[in-house]
Amino acid sequence: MLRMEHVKKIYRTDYIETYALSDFSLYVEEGDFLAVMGPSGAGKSTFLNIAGLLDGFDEGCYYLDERDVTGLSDAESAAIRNQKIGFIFQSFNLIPDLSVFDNVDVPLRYRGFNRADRKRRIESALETVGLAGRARHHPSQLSGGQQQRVAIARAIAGSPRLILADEPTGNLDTAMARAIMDLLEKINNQGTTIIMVTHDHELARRARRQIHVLDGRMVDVSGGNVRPLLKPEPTPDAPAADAPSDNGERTSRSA
Amino acid sequence: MLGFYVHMAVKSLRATPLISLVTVFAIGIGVTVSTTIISVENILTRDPFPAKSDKLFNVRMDSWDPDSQFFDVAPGEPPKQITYRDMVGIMESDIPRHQTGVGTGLSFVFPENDLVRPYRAAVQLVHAGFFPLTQAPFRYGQGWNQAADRNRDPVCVLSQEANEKLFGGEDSVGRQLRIGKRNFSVIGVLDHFNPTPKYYDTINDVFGDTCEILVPFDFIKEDDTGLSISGNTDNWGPRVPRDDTAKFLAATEMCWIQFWVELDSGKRRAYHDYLDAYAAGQRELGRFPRENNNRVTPLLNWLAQRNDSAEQTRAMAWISVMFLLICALNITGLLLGKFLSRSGLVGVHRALGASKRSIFAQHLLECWLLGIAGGLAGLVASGALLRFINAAVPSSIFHDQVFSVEPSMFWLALGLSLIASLVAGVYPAWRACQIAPAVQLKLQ
Repeated sequence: MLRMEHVKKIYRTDYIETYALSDFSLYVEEGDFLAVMGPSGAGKSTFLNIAGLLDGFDEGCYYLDERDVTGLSDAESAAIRNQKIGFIFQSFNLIPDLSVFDNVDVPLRYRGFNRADRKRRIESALETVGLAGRARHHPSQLSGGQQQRVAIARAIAGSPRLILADEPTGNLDTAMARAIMDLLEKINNQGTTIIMVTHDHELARRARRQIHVLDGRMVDVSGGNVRPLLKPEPTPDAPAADAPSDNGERTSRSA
Repeated sequence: MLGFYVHMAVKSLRATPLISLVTVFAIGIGVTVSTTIISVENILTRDPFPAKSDKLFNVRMDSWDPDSQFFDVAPGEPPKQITYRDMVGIMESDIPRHQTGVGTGLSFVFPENDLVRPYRAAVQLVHAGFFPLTQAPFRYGQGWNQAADRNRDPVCVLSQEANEKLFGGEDSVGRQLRIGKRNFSVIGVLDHFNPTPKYYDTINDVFGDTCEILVPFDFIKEDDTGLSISGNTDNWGPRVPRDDTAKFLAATEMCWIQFWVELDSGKRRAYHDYLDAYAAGQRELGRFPRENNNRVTPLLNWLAQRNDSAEQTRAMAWISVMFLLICALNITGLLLGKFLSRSGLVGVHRALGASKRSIFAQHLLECWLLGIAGGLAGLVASGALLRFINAAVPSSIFHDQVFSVEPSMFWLALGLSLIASLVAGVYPAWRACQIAPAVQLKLQ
């Protein structure tokens, strides 16, 4: 689904160069649920931005869905973002002037779906996140948890192959965070690949895999060793077979 | 997709009503000034008689003082009007299809109806050729013929307004009207006839109404009509006593008559030669001391020469368009601030699949909506301003409702406002589409 090899990202000013990612390699299979952890400034968000084609990189290769997405034009990147990737942000990033329905509608508009198709997808997405009755509400009329559910509905309405979640529970209380995590697991179980940046170890443990980023590199959780390419061992299990147990816990397969 | 862009633009405009209002106001001011001045310019420069403007010619002859340049015209140009005796002389030509002198006299008019008090009126002195030449429309009756000119028949034609005032608007053909001490028979009543500009009289009252009463030209010589020469007169040469108008007109070098001919195509050169031959003949008689300097000027060229205000207004129109562009440039800063303050939203749209081109189009569309609103507001304000100008300027200078917003102004205002909003919005929209989404999403 996603393959990064030796990716390097440098932020430059007139005087200094900052290596946000350095020799960063990662392999994510279709249907995986990956938790990305690491301290602030480690490069998690940079990785997520590059993965989401929101930012470029200086060296290395990036394949998304078997396609080399290095050096795509802006329009091509936008189209891939729109069709294959859903974003969930820590601060929800809903458009305050639009209703819940219209917020979910935005990526579908860019996709060019007709009115009937959009309506069907929006209603289905809101049904999935349990907000079917709030379609005409505005974000300001919803709680934080509800707003994040709307953001999730917006992310899944276009049936993306990959969801990138940047600390999706960071602004929520524990109970609400668990509910959102339940929702993400549900979506993952339906086959959507999810990469989630989080600081919350409890939530991270519920992902299928955890990776840690430190100083722009992947590190071994236990020993702090640099692991340039995390390619999972072949597994006969289909993603659905890795469904969480009733208590929601998962076992990390990569670290 | 356009519907979505419009939807987003309207939401954005409603989210910042003050900025939207200020922008509409600024564009509206610019459009108001531009369309008002361009409306005035259009009125001042338009072809007042498209059906015949290529066939009508103003005639001038240089009978002026050899020792001084005639004033109020470009260097080398002859006087802008001709003398009475030259008018009589050149009317001998049979080259023009129609020809007429146009002069103005003043006298007291005594209505047949005792209930209407006598009043002083401007009387248009014209020849029979005036009516076919101008194709003045008649409501009742008709104009007089050349025999009436020759025989000096006491007939007159009334304007629609005069007929309303003197005879209550009814068919007054055959009714009597006294001018001075002379009775005139009404033989025709004009329908509405107020060409703008009043091309056949650009000297005295270019934007005024048609005179209320038109009589055969030579009645200016009849002292019992009480008619006195009115309007712009330029004189040189020996002083001639004015106690006998006929003798005065036969001797004076006073230029006070505009002369018009309608020429069939190809006859202009022949007519010009005729004028030169006439001038040469007069030179032998001791007049026309200067070299031949006669002009047969097409109507539109003549209007362009005479219409100084049109030239000034045209310059003003360009200045007003520049003013609009300056308004637009001032709005640029406002829009830039607004767009950049919404960088986070731009980042969200980019993450959801909007390309830079989409972001650019959305923001430019928002500018255009502001421009359209400003253009419509400006058009309404322009209409009000022109109405005010019409009301404020005395009707003796401009006849009623001469200035108005013509239908073409709608498209002009729309075009100007779209250009202005493009000028104002293209840079802010470009900056908006350059916003790095990754940075903004983190800042949200």
